[in-house]
Amino acid sequence: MEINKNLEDGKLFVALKGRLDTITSQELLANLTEVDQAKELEFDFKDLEYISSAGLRAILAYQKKLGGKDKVVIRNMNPVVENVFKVTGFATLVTIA
Amino acid sequence: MERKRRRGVSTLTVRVLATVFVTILALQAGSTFVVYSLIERDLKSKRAADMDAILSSVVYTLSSPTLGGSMDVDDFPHLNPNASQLEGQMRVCKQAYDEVFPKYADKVGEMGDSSPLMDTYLQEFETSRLAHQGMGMTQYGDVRVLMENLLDTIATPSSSAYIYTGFFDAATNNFVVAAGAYDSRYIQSPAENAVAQNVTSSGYFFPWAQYSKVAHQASPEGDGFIGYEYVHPTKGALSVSGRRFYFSNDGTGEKDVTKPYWVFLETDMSYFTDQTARFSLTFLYTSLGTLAVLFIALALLIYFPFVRRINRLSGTAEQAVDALGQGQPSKHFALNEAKHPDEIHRLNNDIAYFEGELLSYMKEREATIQQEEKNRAEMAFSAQIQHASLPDKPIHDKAISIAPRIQLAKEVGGDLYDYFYIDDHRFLFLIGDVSGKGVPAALFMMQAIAKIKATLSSGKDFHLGQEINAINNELSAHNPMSLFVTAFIGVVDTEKGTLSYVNCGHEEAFFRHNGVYTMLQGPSNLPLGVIEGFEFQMETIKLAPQDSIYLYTDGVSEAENVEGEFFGKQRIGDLLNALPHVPSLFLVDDMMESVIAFQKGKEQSDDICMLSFTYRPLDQIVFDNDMPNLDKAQEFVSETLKELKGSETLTVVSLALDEILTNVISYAYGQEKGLVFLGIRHDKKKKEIQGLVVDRGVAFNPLLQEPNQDIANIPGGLGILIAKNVLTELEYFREEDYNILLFTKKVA
Repeated sequence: MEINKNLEDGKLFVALKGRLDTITSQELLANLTEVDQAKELEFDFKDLEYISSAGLRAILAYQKKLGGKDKVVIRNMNPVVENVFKVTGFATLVTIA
Repeated sequence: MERKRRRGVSTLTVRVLATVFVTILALQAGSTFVVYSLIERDLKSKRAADMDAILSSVVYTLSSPTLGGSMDVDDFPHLNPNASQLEGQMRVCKQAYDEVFPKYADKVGEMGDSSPLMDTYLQEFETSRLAHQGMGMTQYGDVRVLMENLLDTIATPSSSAYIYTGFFDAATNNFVVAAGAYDSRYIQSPAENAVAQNVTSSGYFFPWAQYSKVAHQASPEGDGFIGYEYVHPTKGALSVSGRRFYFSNDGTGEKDVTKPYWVFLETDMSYFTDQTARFSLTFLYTSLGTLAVLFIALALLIYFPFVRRINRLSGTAEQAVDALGQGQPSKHFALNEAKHPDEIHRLNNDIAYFEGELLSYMKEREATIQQEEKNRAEMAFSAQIQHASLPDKPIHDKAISIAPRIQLAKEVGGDLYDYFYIDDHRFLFLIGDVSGKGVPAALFMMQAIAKIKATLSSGKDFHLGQEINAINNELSAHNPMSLFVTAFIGVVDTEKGTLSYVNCGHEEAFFRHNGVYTMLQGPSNLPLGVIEGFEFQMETIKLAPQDSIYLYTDGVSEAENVEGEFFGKQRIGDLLNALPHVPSLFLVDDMMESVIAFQKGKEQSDDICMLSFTYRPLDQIVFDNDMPNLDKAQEFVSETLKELKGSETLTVVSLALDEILTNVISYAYGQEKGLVFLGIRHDKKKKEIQGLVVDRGVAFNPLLQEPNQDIANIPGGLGILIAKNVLTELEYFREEDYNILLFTKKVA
């Protein structure tokens, strides 16, 4: 999975390409060290094909760290991924844009 | 067998010699003692006789009126050859004694050999004696000389000798010396000298009462003889012999028996002990010498004829054993053709015969063993050939899946199976069991398989029943040993979806349809090879996808446990039905494990053989519970469902499987290794994807998790929730040791 990140004025932009599954979730968690300096997190899921429950948990971890739904925004989910969020109730935990 | 070998002193010799030594020592001691006693007694009596003889001659001399007898008057130049001289002296002494002694009578106890009191008494006595001795009488000294001369004539080879004459004081039992002499040669010390002086002093008396007599011989009347052996207070053991004699009355020749006089001859016992000791020592030395000679002779006598020859036999035996131990047995003992064989010769020959017999027996045995080994090797080889011809690889493709399991009994058995594609749409499988065991059964089995293969793999269309008839006729024809084979032969037409089968006297197969196993009923025929011309009945059934056939031999149904129970067909059916969702691959393993566990403790007597066949099985992948294998599984799914590439269906299925498999991989087996089975199929008729995940881990029904707010924190809970919601159906079963997850997803 490819991770493109950019920290700007306390807001961390992250674009993911590929699949966010058990293994790549670990990679993400290890990689996003900048999140410590961020107050907000914005994901671009345009190229994200797939997310598993491990991915969801990773998102949730960031949400908790930053302090709430409005602190985590996710853009450009594909229908499958969006369906996953909806079905699991995670849609209520993050802001979907 | 380890043998202790001892070298060294000949045990036999030692034992014999030791026994002889002890015996002879005992004899020696006994005989020496006896000899000593006899000699002593002999010497004593001889001594006594000697003394007696001496005394007799002394008495004769003393009592002879003319001092004649054997003595020559010229021997006594100082003497007036008149016995009355001696008698006169005796009388004078008596007078003196009667006069002096009474004064000392009560002090006798103090008057020892050299006591002052004794000296006083003797002086007084002497005075009295001289007073009584008249003129013309012989001087006392002359009488003394007489005694000395007498002593000289007596050969007394002892360390001391005394001769004295005198009389007894009847009142006190004292013996009073009138005249005496001692052999001065042997006086060793002043003390002895003093004693000697006293003993020969006139008037000196021996208080006989004080002496301890050791032996006493009663004296007869007449010329009495007294022999004493007594212990003198200071002189030790002594031997005293005495003789009584009488003087005649004034030369008339007639003895005055009212006045007895005595002469005593006294020697000590050293004579005896010397003699006895000398003799005994001589005896001892000679006997020891003899003993030594005897010993040596005995040792040689034991050693040469016995010990050495026996050791030689031993040595030869050791060599023979060594040769045997090094694996090169050879003859070591030779016959000994002695003209007059003794026991050792005979022993040697017996051993030689024995060795000969043993060697030839060993040769025979060797040959037999080699032959047996050859046979065994051939049997093992035959078994290898036999079973090498059985296919051991399962086949799994879109149309069919088949997996065999066989566990052979120790001997060459008769179970067989085979499966192969006849052509692109017909697949044959069979299982069979030849009657009997061993090489003939194995050969018959191979023959049967060969015929079946030859007949049915030609590729032409055929009627199975008729083909079987032909095979049977051939097998029955060339069958001198009347062997036969039970068999179940089935042919699947994958295009038509049918199974045609012939059961030739074999165990009924189990057929799974809609998840339930039932026994496949149908016509039962004779086994193959029994009789020519038998008409075999065939049966045909329809097969639906994932229908399964389970075949087995009587090694399964007749497996016996330690309690003598049989495994039984009922049990097979029950076990199969407990695992309706378990795929063939796991099924045969499971069944085989069950049978082996069942017959534990009892030796397996028959081959255990089984086949599991599935029509249109699920595509499957089996992998270890390692997380990287998840990718492999996903690849497998993509590949299998490649016609759905890019579709939401495939995505959803992948997503669901991701969650499910992550769960299973992570938790099913705890820390242990385990297999995970994934089967997937696109049922185009039903327009759905069918999937099956099987593991053999801890019982865990993921569907029982309650979804709640904290679902994110429950391991696996979230994943299953996702899976449940994206799939059409998701079911869980627990079958025996297996977790089964079944799912479907309608194709959009």
